[in-house]
Amino acid sequence: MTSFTSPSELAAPSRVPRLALALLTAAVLAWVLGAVYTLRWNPEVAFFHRVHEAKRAWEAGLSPSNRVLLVGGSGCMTSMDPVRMREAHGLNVLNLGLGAGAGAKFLGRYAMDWARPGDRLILTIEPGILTGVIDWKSLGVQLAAANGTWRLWEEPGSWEWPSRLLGLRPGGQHLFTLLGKSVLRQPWYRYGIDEIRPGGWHEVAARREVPSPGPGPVALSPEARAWLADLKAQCDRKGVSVAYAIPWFYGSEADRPAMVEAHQRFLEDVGRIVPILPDPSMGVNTRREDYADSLVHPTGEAARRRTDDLARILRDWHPGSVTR
Amino acid sequence: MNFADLRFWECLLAALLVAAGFRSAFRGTAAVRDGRFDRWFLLILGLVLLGLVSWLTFVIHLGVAVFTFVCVAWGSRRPAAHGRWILAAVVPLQLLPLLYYKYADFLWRDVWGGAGSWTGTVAIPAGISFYTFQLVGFAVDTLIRREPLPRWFDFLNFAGFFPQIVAGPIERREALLPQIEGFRLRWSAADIDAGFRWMALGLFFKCALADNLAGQFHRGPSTNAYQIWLANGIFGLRIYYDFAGYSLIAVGIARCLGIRLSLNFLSPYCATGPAEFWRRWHVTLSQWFRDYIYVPLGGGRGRGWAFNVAVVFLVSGIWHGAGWNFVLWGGLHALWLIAARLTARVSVPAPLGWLGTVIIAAFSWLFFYETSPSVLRAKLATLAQPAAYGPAALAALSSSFTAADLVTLGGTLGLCALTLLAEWRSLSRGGEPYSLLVRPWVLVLLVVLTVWLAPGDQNDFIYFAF
Repeated sequence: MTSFTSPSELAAPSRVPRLALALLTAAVLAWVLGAVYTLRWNPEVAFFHRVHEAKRAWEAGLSPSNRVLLVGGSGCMTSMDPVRMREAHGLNVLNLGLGAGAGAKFLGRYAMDWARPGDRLILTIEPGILTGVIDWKSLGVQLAAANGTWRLWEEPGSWEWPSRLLGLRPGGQHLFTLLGKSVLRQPWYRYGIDEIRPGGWHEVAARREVPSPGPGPVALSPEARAWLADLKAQCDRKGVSVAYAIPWFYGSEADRPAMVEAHQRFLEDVGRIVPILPDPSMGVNTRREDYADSLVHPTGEAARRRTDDLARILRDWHPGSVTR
Repeated sequence: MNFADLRFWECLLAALLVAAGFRSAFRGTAAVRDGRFDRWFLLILGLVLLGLVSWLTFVIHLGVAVFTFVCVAWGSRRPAAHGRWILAAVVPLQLLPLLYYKYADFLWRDVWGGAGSWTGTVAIPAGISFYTFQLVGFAVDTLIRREPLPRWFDFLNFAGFFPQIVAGPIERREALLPQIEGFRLRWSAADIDAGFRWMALGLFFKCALADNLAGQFHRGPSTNAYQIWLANGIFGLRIYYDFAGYSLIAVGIARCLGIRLSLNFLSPYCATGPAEFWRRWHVTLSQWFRDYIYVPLGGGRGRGWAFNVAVVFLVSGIWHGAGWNFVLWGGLHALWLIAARLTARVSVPAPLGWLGTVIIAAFSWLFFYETSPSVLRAKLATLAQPAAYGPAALAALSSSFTAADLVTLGGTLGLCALTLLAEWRSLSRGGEPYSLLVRPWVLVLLVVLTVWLAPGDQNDFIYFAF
């Protein structure tokens, strides 16, 4: 055995670790295939990318002043019809809702990427994603890449892009589910592109029994508190006003008091950092028939009512008018 | 020092490149020629990686190592007859940081009945359970067996060899120290190929199997016997692939550097009885208990053998975690081993022995992951009730999964079953436990599966908590 660094020995065939090179090559090729699949054929990523494109098209036609940006997961995406906001209520609204599975970190950056000075940013992020660790989720990494907004990956003062690149892979849950659906001859994704409405509102066609979830989380995690404070600081620096609106959950009559109490406590926590939009429902709706396939996905008809409710709240709200 | 974190590999690669550059630039110097440069590099790399974990981890590790070396150096100059007395004073002091950080709150709250936290919820320094045991072993071997004292920086390298410091394997001085003393940074294609075999298999175990199982592990309600058994089974597979994966990666990294570490797992779920299970599960810890507790107590000879077994497993239980559930877990394994030895004359067909081993091991994992005494009691009561195994419980189990969860769980369990089958085939052919899985074409397949199946959201190694 000779020196670790000797170039002449590296070039000698007997000194080449063939198996190690074969395994590294297999890993790189598998990653390339996984990345190509993720960015071109992954049905979930493709769906959200189309939603993103619909938002871009809608933004192009929006007046640049008095814009309201609604930010959140699929609860936001499926509940707010921006066309109705404009036509019925005269509000200049951009629904930036995407999948909650993308994680708060992505959703926050996605929102800040759209925000312009003078905009009003309404966070309608599901409490469930603000009670744990705030980190990049695979779906967030993949959506940033699929949308061509690679800049969202950047972490100031940190070298994160190799980790993000590794996120461009399908993962076990996705592949096994796909395999199962193929075997059972089911569609690869439960939502269709034809459900995406102008402005990026998703009118859910699927129907599924929705059980009442009971009281949810009541407090922001320390990481979420820091993340929210940082988002608020970014908004302040950019001249964007920000507030939080609790999403609209299904809850049975029996669960309603406990859910309202949980939401109240959660809002008190959030309210220490950003203003809260007053919502008489406290984010609980007891009409099961209003929900399509999950406890935050309303049917089209219910989404129109929720849009009207929020429009009324927004009309009455001006930055600085809400006490913390 | 999380092998599933890309940062670790970035740091390691950068350090190796820097070392290669320095080595090339100063190739004519005596420090490079006689290997001092290489051993200093290894020491600095280990300390830097420890420091990156946390300053507390760094300080406590260095403190325990320096204390051990100073005491052993002093003790080794005393007469041999004093060795035991010196050891009796040194070992408790070596264990003191471990006792404080890992057990102070347990002793204060659960044994003494105090309120609140005694340590102020300080995180346990990473690897403390592992390197403390390795250093206790070093002290015993040097003072009692009168083995020569190594040079201090060779000792620090032995105490802080970075691939194994956080979660083992716990190495004996005669296995690791001579390799450390002769360590050279060399380019060896054979070692790199051998190292990559273990790393690829370890990453597959950890990222493709354990991390996907982690997403499917839910403690579930304490009233459904099927859900409890399923959780036990998933946890048992997860902890195996998680810890065996970590250990294999450690073995692989060390091998790339020319150091051979012990295999910590030898296909334990292929065992047909408790004694064999423990010869295959966390091998280096089992050997440590055998050599430093069981044998000194009298081992398997004489009337006290059952007591010796019980002591070893109760200590093993508490080593794994500060809680009564871990003591019970150790006690259960002690009972199992004692019962197996008492009934050794009864001939059990191998398939039946294997089934019994798997079922009892799965049952015992309940004591390992369920840290709440009241929930543990409730779950044990459920498992003991025949009525809890009715069709309603089975229906509740199936309705607790979404179709996607069920498919993922089925796929991951199917992959685990194939892997276990390959382990069994390797053993039954008389080969090494993982000989089929480390064949080149199988490894290529495993690498592809790892890249495609590893969930993006990271899960830490379970044994880091110990």
